[in-house]
Amino acid sequence: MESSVFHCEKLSKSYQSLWAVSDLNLKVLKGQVFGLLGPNGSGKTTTLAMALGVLKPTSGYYSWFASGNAPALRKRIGSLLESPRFYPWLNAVQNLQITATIRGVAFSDIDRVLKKTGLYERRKSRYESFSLGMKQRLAIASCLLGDPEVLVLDEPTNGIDAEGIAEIRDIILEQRKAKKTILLASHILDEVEKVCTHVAVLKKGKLLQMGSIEEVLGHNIWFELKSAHKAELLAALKSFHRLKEIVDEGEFIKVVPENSLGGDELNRYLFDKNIILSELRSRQQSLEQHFLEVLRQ
Amino acid sequence: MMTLLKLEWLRLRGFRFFWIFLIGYFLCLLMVLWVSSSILVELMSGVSLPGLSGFNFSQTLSMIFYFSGFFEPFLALILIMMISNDSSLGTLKQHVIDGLSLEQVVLGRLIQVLFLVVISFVMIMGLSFLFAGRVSGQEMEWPSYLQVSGFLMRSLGFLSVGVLLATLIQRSIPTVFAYFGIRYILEPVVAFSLSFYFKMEVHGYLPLGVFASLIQSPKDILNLGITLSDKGSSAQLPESLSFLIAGLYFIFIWGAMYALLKNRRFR
Repeated sequence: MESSVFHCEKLSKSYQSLWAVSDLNLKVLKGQVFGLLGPNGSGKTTTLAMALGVLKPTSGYYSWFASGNAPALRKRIGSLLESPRFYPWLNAVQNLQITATIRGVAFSDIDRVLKKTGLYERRKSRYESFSLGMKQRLAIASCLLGDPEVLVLDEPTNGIDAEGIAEIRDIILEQRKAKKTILLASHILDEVEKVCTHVAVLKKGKLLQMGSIEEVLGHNIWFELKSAHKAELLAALKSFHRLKEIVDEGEFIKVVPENSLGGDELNRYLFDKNIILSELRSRQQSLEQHFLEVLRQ
Repeated sequence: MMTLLKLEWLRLRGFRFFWIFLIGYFLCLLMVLWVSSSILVELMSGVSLPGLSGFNFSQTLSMIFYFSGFFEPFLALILIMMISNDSSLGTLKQHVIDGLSLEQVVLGRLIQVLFLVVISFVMIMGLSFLFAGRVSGQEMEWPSYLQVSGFLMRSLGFLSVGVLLATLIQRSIPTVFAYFGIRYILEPVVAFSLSFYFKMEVHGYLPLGVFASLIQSPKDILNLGITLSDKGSSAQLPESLSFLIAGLYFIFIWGAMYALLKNRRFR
């Protein structure tokens, strides 16, 4: 059985009459890279703030490692919530020593995480002298201290340049490869699509959709077909009962298949009907397109 | 406990104002002792005054215990700035996220207070040894446990008030104003008003008044044989009652701080 790393039931947070998060049910299993998506004000950060013990839920329950929500459990989690928070007058090493002390991590691990995040050369520089990107990197370094089982990253690429974003993506992918669990909130959907295995879409504090990337986007696959014998192709397609939609787009014919139908099966069917395709393109809605569609609904 | 001690030291050691204010506190104590001992040496040269004849270690200590109260705001400022910074920089929030419980946060602050009180005590002991030797050739008279516990309780109380205000206000400058305002304006004015209009002598019962009353004034120190309960501001309060009220205030302050943090939305 896959073990639960985080789950919440009917988790809610209200500010007077405004419900920032409402009856949220989530379950994150070990090894998942779970993306929390939503526009500004959708409740992503509020959810993470409750999960990380800095915001009291109005109602509902959450649990880490199926063991409740005791503060000591958070020592097994590397977390970056909203923005980096360090002492400006301390240098990178001194700031990480504080995090290491709280999390019970040996100081010897500090050099490793500083090298991983490209801050080793600046380890003796004061935090106040860091650029926004370097501050963000230090926060990522702090998350990686002690090689925790779980990473919670809220907008980890904030303020980071394109090269830095790619590096952080590599770090996340490396953690994913190492079967670490990651809970990632981001509005950069392209990033989420590249690294996440599962996503949940929030809007105004409510869960709109949740599942694996394949499940979420799998319903939105279509094919674009081209043949020298377009009329025969159209007729053959119309007689195929496993297609949900056929649209003549001029040069191509767009067909939306049932979930179980693959491109190879479609091609074989048409070949049996003596239709040779000159092109068969498989198309899938991007996470961004899907996200916008879900939000519109 | 050791983890919290280590954590607080890591936080304090790199804080410039910690060293500046600590050195400032030391220099003020040094100055007071130097000036007072110089005056006493002058007074005692060839004159025998009943109250001054025994100015030895115990009396020097009592004297400096009393005067250190004027400079304790230096230590309170360190705590106020540290706690306010933790709120404004969001480092407290990050520490909670990293796994610190609220109980540990409160305990960490108590450790900071104890740490400063211990440093202050060690400084005072050292300086008293130094200066008692300068003005007294007599046999060493050790301080009473009441002197020492009075000093410790007063320091803990004064600093705890600063910590509570910083926790409540979360900004250093307004907290500093509030701390000095309560200590030097609000509480004396309340005490005076109640005394003047209602003939109620409450100064010894108000928080900072109670903490201050745990230490003998120089006038009492120079009159050997006078006990704590005979002195100025807390003249109506027996020493045990002063300690009891101070203890209750101390418990209330730290309980209030825990309640405040428990119901706080961390920034």
